[in-house]
Amino acid sequence: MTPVYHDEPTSVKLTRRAFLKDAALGATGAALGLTGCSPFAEAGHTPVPRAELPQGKSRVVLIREEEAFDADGMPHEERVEEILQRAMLELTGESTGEAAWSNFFKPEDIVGVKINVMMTPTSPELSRSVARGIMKAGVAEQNIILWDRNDAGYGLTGATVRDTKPGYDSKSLSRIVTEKATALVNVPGTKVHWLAGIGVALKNWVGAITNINVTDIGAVYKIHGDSCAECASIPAIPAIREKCRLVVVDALRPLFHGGPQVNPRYLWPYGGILVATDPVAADAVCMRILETKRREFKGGDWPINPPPKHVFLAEEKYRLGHANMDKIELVRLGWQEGMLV
Amino acid sequence: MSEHLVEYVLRISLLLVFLTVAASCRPRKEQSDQRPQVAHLLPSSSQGWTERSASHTYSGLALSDYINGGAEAYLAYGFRELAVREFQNTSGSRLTVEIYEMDRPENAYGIYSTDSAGEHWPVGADASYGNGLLRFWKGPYFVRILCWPPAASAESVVRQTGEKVANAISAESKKPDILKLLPETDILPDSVCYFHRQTSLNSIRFLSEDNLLRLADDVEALTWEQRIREKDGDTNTLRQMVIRYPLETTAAAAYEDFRKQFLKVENSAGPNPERNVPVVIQMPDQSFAGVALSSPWLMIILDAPSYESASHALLQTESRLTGLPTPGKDNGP
Repeated sequence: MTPVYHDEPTSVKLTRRAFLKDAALGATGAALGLTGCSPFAEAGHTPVPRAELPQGKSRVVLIREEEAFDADGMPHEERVEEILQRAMLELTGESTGEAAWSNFFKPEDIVGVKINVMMTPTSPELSRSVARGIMKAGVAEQNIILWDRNDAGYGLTGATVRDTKPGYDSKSLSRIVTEKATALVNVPGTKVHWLAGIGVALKNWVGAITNINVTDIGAVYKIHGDSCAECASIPAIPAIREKCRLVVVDALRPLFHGGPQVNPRYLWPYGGILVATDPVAADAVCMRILETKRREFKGGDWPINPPPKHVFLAEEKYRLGHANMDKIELVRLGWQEGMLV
Repeated sequence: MSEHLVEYVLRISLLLVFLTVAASCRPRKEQSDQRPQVAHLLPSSSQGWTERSASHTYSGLALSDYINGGAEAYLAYGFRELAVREFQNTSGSRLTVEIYEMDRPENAYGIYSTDSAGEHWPVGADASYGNGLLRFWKGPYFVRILCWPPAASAESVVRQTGEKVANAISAESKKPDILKLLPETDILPDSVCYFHRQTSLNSIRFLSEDNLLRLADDVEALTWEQRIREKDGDTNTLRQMVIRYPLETTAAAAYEDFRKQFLKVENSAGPNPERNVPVVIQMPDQSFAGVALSSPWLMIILDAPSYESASHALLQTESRLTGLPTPGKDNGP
């Protein structure tokens, strides 16, 4: 039987606005009890959108080091700390590290550093460099908590040893966020993610909550449906949004396919770090780096599947920052070859 | 025959019926019980490597404790249990052995097929290696062996460990029979993937958040990319998908949903709609997509360079359906 040819092309391609509309309607319907899938679960903290998007462009500093790894393929800590310092000076416009880090932290702060320890973890070398940076602002080493999920460690050793269980409050959010820390830093890895499209700064906060599961059944935070679009709701929880002052993205060795479980075939030594205050802008830049890398690897179009809806939802629904590259001031420093963005 | 004798015969008959029914329900469990404990398949040692920590096992949804955010990839293939053991060498490299037990060999093949790129090694039923990672399947088991950071001896230690695990597995390695629908030539290397769920499809080729194709654990789907030689001599590619439903009504509903909601074709043949005829349409990105129903089978073409290539691929696949088991009629799922 010969297939019937219909020559009237119709608009079926998934557009950003179309899927955001769907996502927003889904959330609205859920809030009205229509779907039973509300991210605004009564048992959890309620995300609160920002009143408005950040004024002007969001500044993202991307810095790369060609010799970021030593002979054994491990991150070279001194070089990592050096490029982090350069990036912080560029982000703040300050001329010293002390001044740069003091833009974000006061000596009396207790700083929670949200790293990622699952699968594509934050490099301990970068975690320690961030901790040393915070100390430049006068924060005592023992007042710096490095943690992911329910495992925390204090000071520089927290980059590798996390034997304290901080626990969760009654609404399933880490006590580090709600009780211990006066300031937060978000230090994620960079990966393409099987369910969410990408997993960078916005998604890293999922590691600060508990009582979630892949089916969303009985979960306090129902974030897994719709390609994990409602991951964007977690950094909109006021306790996180108001305390998080800085994003430092580990793009030293990103994963451009198949995450979160790692196939080293899809890791590459990009040697990058991104610093920003806008988590959506940081994610948007990483998304483009990953998209370009995939295209380069495949030698043709290879979109991120599923599309990272949560990045756009974070902008349009929660107004956490800019996903549109026209609204991002991207500063590119260091090793330029293979920058990909 | 006395009443007692009649009652006795009836009781015996009922007992026999009960035992027959009970026995017919048991083979799957017996088969399951015959499998070795997954942890017993883990190697206890590897030359030059010392055990870093005790082995761990994760069952069912608890897999999320090991692969936070990635467990669903395995749960979509009838995951039962994972056993993990880690070794390390003196230079700090780690050797991680993960053995995933799935509910049946076809699903072990399925999870393997989600990413089979790499150097193909004769380990287990199918294996691929690259950058310190060996992935293979055998029987109902899918195995990952990773050496990271890659040590100088990574390749040999990973191969030896893989062979040791594969040799410990004696189960039959049965591939899904739907693979018989693959064309003999022009398949892009490592593009074949067997799957059941919407989440699996969306990570390969995103179609929609809605489950237009009514994918589910009792639905079998196969996708691959195929090289196409155009009339003008150009070489291009397209993606094919074949889906087998347990019920014809489900197949028909999936056809309707895909045609109307993805292709945006309300009727399959204009003013005189004939149900279920193949449809091909040019999409907004200028590629061609199509669908054909040969119940309980659904065939889909995506990203085709021309109407001719999409139509040809649909018809070629349909011609290969003959002889494959049909659910409800043969011994399909």
